[in-house]
Amino acid sequence: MRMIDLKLLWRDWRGGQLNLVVSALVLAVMVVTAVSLFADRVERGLNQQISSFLAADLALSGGIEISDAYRQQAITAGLDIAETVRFRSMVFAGERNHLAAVKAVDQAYPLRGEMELSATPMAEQVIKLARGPQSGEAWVESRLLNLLDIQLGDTVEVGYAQLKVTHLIVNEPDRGTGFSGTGARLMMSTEDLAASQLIRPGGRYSYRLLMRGDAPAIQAYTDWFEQQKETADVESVPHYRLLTPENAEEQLSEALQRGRAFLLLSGTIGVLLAGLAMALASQRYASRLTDQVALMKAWGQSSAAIRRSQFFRLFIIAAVATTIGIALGWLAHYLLLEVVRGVLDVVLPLPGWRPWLVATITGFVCVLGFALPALWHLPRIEPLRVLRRDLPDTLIGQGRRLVIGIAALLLLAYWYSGSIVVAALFLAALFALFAVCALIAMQILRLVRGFGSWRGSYTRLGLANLWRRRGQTLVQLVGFSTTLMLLLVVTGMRTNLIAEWEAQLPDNTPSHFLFNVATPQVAPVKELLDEHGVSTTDWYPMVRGRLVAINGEAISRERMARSDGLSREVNFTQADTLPEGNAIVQGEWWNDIESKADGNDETNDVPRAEFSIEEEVATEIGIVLGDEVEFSIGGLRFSAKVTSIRSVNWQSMTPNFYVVFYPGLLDKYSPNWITAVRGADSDSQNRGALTQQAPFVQSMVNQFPTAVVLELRDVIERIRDVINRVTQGLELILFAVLACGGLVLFAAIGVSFDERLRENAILRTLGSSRRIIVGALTVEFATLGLIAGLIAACGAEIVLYFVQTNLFDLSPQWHWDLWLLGVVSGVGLITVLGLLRSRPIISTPPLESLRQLA
Amino acid sequence: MNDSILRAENVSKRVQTAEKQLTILEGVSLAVPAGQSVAIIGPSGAGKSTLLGLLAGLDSPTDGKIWLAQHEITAMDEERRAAVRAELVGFVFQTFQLLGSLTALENVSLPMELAGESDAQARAINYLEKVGLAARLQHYPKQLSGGEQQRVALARAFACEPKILFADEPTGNLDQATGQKVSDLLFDLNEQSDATLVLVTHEQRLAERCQRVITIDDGRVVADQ
Ligand SMILES: Nc1ncnc2c1ncn2[C@@H]1O[C@H](COP(=O)(O)OP(=O)(O)OP(=O)(O)O)[C@@H](O)[C@H]1O
Ligand SMILES: [Mg+2]
Repeated sequence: MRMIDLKLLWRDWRGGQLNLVVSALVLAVMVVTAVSLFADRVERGLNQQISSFLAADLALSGGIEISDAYRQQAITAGLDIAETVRFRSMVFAGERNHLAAVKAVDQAYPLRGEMELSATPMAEQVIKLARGPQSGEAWVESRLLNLLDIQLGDTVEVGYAQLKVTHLIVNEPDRGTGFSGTGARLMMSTEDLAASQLIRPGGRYSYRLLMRGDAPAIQAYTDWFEQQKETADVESVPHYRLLTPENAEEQLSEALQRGRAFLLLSGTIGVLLAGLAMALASQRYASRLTDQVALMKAWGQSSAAIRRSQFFRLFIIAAVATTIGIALGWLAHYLLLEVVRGVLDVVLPLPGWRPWLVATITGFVCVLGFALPALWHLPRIEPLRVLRRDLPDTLIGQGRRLVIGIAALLLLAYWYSGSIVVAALFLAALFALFAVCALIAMQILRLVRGFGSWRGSYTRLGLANLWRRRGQTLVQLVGFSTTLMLLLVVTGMRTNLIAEWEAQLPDNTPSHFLFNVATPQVAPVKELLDEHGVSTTDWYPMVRGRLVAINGEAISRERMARSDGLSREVNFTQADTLPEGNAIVQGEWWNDIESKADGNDETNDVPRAEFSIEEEVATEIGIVLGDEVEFSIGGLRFSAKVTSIRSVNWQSMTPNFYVVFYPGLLDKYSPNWITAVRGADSDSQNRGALTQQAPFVQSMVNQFPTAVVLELRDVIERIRDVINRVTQGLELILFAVLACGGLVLFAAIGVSFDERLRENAILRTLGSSRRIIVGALTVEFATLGLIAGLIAACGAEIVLYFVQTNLFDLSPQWHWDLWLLGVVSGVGLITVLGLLRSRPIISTPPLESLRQLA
Repeated sequence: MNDSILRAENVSKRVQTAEKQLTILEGVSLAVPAGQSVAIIGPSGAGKSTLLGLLAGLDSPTDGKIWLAQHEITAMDEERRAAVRAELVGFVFQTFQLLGSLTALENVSLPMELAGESDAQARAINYLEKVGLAARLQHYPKQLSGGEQQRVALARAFACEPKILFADEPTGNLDQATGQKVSDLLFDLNEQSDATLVLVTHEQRLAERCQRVITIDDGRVVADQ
């Protein structure tokens, strides 16, 4: 291409005519780059973990111990096998304890991949081992050292077992899904399980049979498993799942794709605003180029040459801005990663080619969709324009430019989300939101216009300006208020929601939960709690199981999937009295129980095969009073009849169950017990690492090491942490989107810039003071900001209302802080940006203004 | 007649307005030999600018033929007329038409750069010196007075060394004294360059400095001296 084109481009840039177009493009590309780099790396990280997820070629997983038949079949098929079991358990050292995620592995583990370990606290050197810990050893995640205040070489207690911490885990071949909601990881040998006494009936465990072998053997096992599912062994098959690297990956990647689409679509709002700013700025750029192009044509440049030059220049703009945007996006994605680091437990690989392509295409599509249409007419300008400046420009009509812009957005949104329906719905929703904002803003403007007439002169002037240029006003308002609204929603979620939920918890909300208490331990634990003056709710025995059939008809997968609550293995309990906070909606509770139980303890009475079910899951899965339901617990089956339907107050945070059986029915399944502790929260101020634990916890942990004590505050804290990080990440993206809104403001002022320059020059010549002009501008922008802030706060309040009532079941609350934040940031931002952009209008001497415009 | 560099034969221009057809020019014929300086005068609205635009090939007439050098530009499409303009024609305008984002030097060198000439910069400096603006090379138009701006425009027009220079009211936006200085320069440069000059004006004094004066009124040539 010719030097002269570059020169011309450089001169336009130097003259400041490209600032806005380029900044908008850079911002749009930056947002998209950051978001897609972030999503891509997380996705790759998770996928990588998944593909080595099994530490084997095939794995059988289930909530009950792997039965011999399945193990034997693997051996017969010629597969090598290994076994692991995962569960949560208290781990303690001295005065400290932590609820850890434990994985016990046998001698054969891992079948694929290696353990990455370190023998020093800072993990300077990574040791690779193709085996798990030996008996007596524990390998732990480094944060456990801090949590328990121990060092490598120290001993920890896991249940009743004493294990020496010999290595830190850097990475493991079957690390898991990557979401670290759980405690610090600890690996031990299955040989120590018996000594630890941690495996007890009714507990929640995840067993795995790992298999390794050649493809035919794997296939043979898979076929055999499918056959089992279809034929005889319906009993236990539902408890097992067969995992291959592929199906594990499939499941995850669907969720990930949705996550990425969501992020990129929120980035689309930024692209939309940046596009709007680009379109407005390009229009102004075009009008400045008109004379230049007319001259060039008079000098004999052909339309084709001018078109070529135009394309070349736009190409350079797109290339440069995209490069800068990508570079900034690269930096920004580290910020995003930093924010969510605590939530995501994954080793991040380098990104693939896709984010770069997404960013580059975004840059070029933006130029084609938003800048080019505004400049398209330039090569067709008639050379005669040099003599007759009143010749009309044959601009592409606004309607058509709008269509092109929307088409560009749709294309990008489609590409981001991978679904034309999602893209179209998203854009439609966004435009509907814009329309509603615009309608409301229009009404407010109309109201505000009335005020001007009885206020000071510059107020009148400022308000009159708002009304007179209402098209432009609306464009600015809509861009700003929607972005601000989203920001307020996210901020509101972060700062208020959890606090409100906490505040609405009843006073007698439990502070701790006790799990995994074996039947013989119940009495001594009660005694211990009494000694510490701690009260509890009722004690409930718990066994895990699932629903198998209703009225003799097996429950289909589809029917099962209708209910979140019952689609997996759940906890069942039995009780003689109706649990606290529950109420019978239909049927009757077994009231005759008391006399029986008291009458003769040693009765041979078989407990009645009856149960009570929670009303919501009953409706979801379609169970009515009197239905005969078949259950499976640990592979054993029995039937019971629905004799009551209950409502449950989930808010109470006391132990609640979907299914409650007639007392005695679960006795033979060796349940373990749960209860909730009230009022042990003596020292609630001390948080963090130095937390002072309630005194009973220490005694509990020392005397009953296999029991699990969970502190509600820890749970809330963890939820709060996750919400914080996710919303902070979103906020970062939205700040960039807000910056795009700022550019729209700049660009919209640019549209009326010359007009304003002229008007103000005339006002000044007529003797208006600078003060009046600054005052009028301030009133104009502050009012604009006020309206934007109000609309944003109002919208955010509505969204939060729905989140509160529908998602969190809270009573709605006003968020005055958000209104304040909305109004202050709206007024502040728009006034500052507006005055900044208008500075030349204020500071250029009137004579010069008029001459410039001549 | 064949040695004339510019020739118009029975040129008419009519435009369709909302109510009726408007005749701006009617049966204009003229021939200008190379090197001559011609003034076109007439009252406002007479059609002078329209004629200039047609002669320069910026627009095409409704009827009639026009030759620029040996090219019959009325038989050409806009792209080919553009090529002819690039080869032969220079312009000076009433409103100067300098590009605000370019310095004086850049304004002058731009047409040469577009034409791909290698010594654009040097020639531009040379011509800016000739119009007495050697000290203002890096100034932007808004930093220059009207007279200075028009001098830059003159430098720009002559630096390309056109065969024919079209000037539409070059002093129209200037006061008397400044206008005088600019027209002095215009004729000086024209003499040095031996270009043909076609100049539209309604100032008698400026017209008198040309070798020939064509008067038009209401779209017709009414006098040719
Ligand atoms: N495309 C057009 N459509 C309508 N009217 C036109 C068009 N072109 C020129 N005119 C009209 O034709 C007449 C002649 O215009 P022209 O600009 O040639 O006059 P002029 O002699 O240059 O006047 P002035 O001295 O004021 O510049 C004017 O009345 C003008 O309004
Ligand atoms: Mg004229």
